[in-house]
Amino acid sequence: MKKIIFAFTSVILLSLHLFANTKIVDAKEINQNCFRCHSMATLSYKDESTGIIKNLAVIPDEFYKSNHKNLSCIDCHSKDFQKFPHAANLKKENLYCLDCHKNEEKFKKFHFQTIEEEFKQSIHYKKMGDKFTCFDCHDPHSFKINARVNREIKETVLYDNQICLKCHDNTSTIKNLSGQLLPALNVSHSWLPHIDLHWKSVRCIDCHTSPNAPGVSHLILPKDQAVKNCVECHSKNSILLQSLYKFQTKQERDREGFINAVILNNSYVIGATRNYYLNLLSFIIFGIVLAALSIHGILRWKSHKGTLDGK
Amino acid sequence: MESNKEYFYPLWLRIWHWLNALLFLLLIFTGVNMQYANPKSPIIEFHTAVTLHNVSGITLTLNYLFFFILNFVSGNFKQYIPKFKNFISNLVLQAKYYLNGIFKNEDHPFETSKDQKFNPLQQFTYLQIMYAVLPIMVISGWALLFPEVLIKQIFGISGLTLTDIVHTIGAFFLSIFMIGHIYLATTGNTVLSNFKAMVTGWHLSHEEEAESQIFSTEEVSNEN
Ligand code: HEC
Ligand code: HEC
Ligand code: HEC
Ligand code: HEC
Ligand code: HEC
Ligand code: HEC
Ligand code: HEC
Repeated sequence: MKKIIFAFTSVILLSLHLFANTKIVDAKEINQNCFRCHSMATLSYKDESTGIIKNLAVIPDEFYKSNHKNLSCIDCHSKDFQKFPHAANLKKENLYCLDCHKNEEKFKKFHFQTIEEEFKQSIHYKKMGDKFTCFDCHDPHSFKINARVNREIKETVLYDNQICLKCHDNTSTIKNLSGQLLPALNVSHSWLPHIDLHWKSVRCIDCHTSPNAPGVSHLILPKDQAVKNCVECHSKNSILLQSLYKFQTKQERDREGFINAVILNNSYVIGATRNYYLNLLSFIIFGIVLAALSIHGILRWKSHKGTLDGK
Repeated sequence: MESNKEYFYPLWLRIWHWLNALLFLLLIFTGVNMQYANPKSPIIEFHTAVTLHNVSGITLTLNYLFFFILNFVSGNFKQYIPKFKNFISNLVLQAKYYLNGIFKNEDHPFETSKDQKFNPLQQFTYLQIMYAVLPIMVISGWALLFPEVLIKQIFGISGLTLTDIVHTIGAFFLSIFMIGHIYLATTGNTVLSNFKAMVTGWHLSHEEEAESQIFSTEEVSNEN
């Protein structure tokens, strides 16, 4: 029985593979149809019940760079959207990342299930419940993974922080969601020196999540549990090795033999950026100088003893 | 007795020197604490170290400018310019003394005087420390205070990283210099006499006959 299923899935996978290219072309054709209207940046409507203006634009350039670039709109959305005007009941359509990403082998490395559990424990979900979803941070039409694949750490930082800043730089979004205002980031983080440098070199989630996640940590902690102690980053066992540099350190460790190469090329984190050989060399030179001076001093003291006593 | 004493170090120089020494110690201490930050045994907290380092660095800059200007105005800077004549052999002579003669209670090969306060080795080192390494440290230090002014990438390495490396290597040399400097300061007439001179300004010459030597070096320097 198992064998039959295996053979069956193999055939399907193989044919999927063979037809993959034609499928993409098909997808593009279908999408073209939707983009006729949905690529218009101004396409939007006002939701009568909440009064919020809902933007319906999907930017083709971003879509074709995203993780879902190979999919067609109706792989996710109902086929009935191909008709216009769209049927009224389609509004109730409820898509969710995990619907498609739960059990597939291919997506295992992303740890979707853990991410969901972490998300449910995050401060956002605890405070705002179902009002806050994956889509508030990940636009299904433009989201692309970064930290895992991008070797330019500064680009990853920019991309990931933009996700948070979409709301946290925008008082009206925050107010809509929580009914209150948060202090400006430069105020709530005024204890951090070189604030602009840190914004560019380190991610919000590096301080605001627990670092012990198999993938990218989604457990955003209450603010009083955020990293405030400088040496958590600025020391030899920097937490950044488990978060921001996680995907790079593995590669670099294999390639160059020691962890710090990765940090050295991208940024200098005082306390964490240490080169084993340079350190050793400086200790040795220092030791030799100290030893030489001590010996010199002792010899001097011995040879001068008589004279000094006389004085 | 009076003739043995000479007023070597004017007040401004002494103030600069001791402030500089204090700032060096602070900067090295806080700097090492950052470079080798250890969460388990923080001698001083990282944040405090950073603040203290910045304040000391800014003060050091002002102090350096003070030194630079007064050193120039007073003409004291001439002390730092090595004599080309017998430059190498003079260095060797002084080095030989430290490695050998000093243990045999020989006289210093170059008697110091008001116009020749440094021996050739000192001159050579101080010139580099005061007019090369320290300016590099001050400039790179200020660049690290305002990292946004730095060039983003140089040959694929971030400008900040390069500046940090320059600053760290410079700091390493200055630490070595400082240890050597303090040690060699004990090789005066007595172990403490050079320290006393730097406090009072009055330098005690070695021996009675030193006077004639002072005279002769004065003549040499007048030739220039
Ligand atoms: C002729 C223009 C046009 C075309 C073609 C079009 N749409 Fe739309 N679409 C709209 C408009 C206008 C709305 C908003 C009003 C509505 O919901 O009917 C909308 C709404 C939507 C919504 C949001 C429903 C909601 O309110 O949550 C989705 C999803 C959607 N379209 C998907 C598609 C897909 C997928 C395609 C291609 C298969 C497509 N549309 C083709 C004009 C179009
Ligand atoms: C990977 C699956 C996926 C693909 C492919 C996809 N969408 Fe969506 N789309 C979603 C999800 C999920 C939502 C709901 C987002 C939300 O709730 O905020 C959504 C929402 C929408 C909306 C409603 C407005 C909004 O942003 O909430 C429109 C319009 C839309 N999609 C159009 C398209 C078009 C046009 C395409 C093809 C170019 C497309 N989608 C491809 C998953 C997809
Ligand atoms: C309707 C189904 C569907 C939904 C909803 C959906 N995805 Fe996907 N996603 C897919 C499929 C199918 C692929 C594989 C695309 C491919 O192979 O090119 C994919 C690919 C991915 C990838 C991996 C790309 C890679 O390079 O391996 C990530 C990451 C991803 N999706 C994240 C998300 C996130 C986050 C959400 C929710 C915001 C989401 N997806 C919602 C169907 C979906
Ligand atoms: C508060 C914002 C936020 C929310 C909510 C959120 N994510 Fe993320 N997610 C991020 C950030 C930031 C990243 C890092 C992106 C990167 O660099 O690849 C990320 C990365 C990911 C990745 C890529 C992980 C990897 O290992 O490469 C997946 C998959 C993902 N999120 C899925 C989800 C799912 C599923 C949900 C909902 C249960 C969700 N996210 C909710 C912010 C969020
Ligand atoms: C969709 C908008 C949105 C996005 C995106 C978003 N947040 Fe928030 N966040 C909020 C709102 C609203 C609150 C206020 C919740 C409250 O106090 O009711 C909040 C609160 C917080 C808090 C304070 C928690 C506390 O203890 O009071 C932190 C920390 C935080 N967010 C971090 C992040 C990080 C990190 C990211 C990016 C990974 C992010 N947020 C992305 C809307 C957002
Ligand atoms: C170096 C670590 C660090 C980084 C990086 C960082 N934060 Fe924070 N953040 C903290 C700490 C610590 C607090 C708690 C401050 C306090 O309680 O005084 C905090 C507080 C907050 C709060 C709550 C403010 C309040 O008083 O309600 C929000 C929201 C927030 N951060 C968002 C962000 C966002 C968005 C980013 C990325 C742009 C970010 N943080 C980057 C450490 C960090
Ligand atoms: C989440 C990790 C993290 C935390 C926490 C953190 N930093 Fe940093 N810091 C960095 C990174 C990464 C850089 C590297 C900037 C670069 O080279 O791009 C940096 C750079 C710096 C610099 C500039 C260093 C240079 O290269 O000359 C100073 C100063 C600094 N941090 C001080 C602090 C202080 C003080 C604290 C505590 C209040 C602190 N940092 C907390 C990650 C962190």
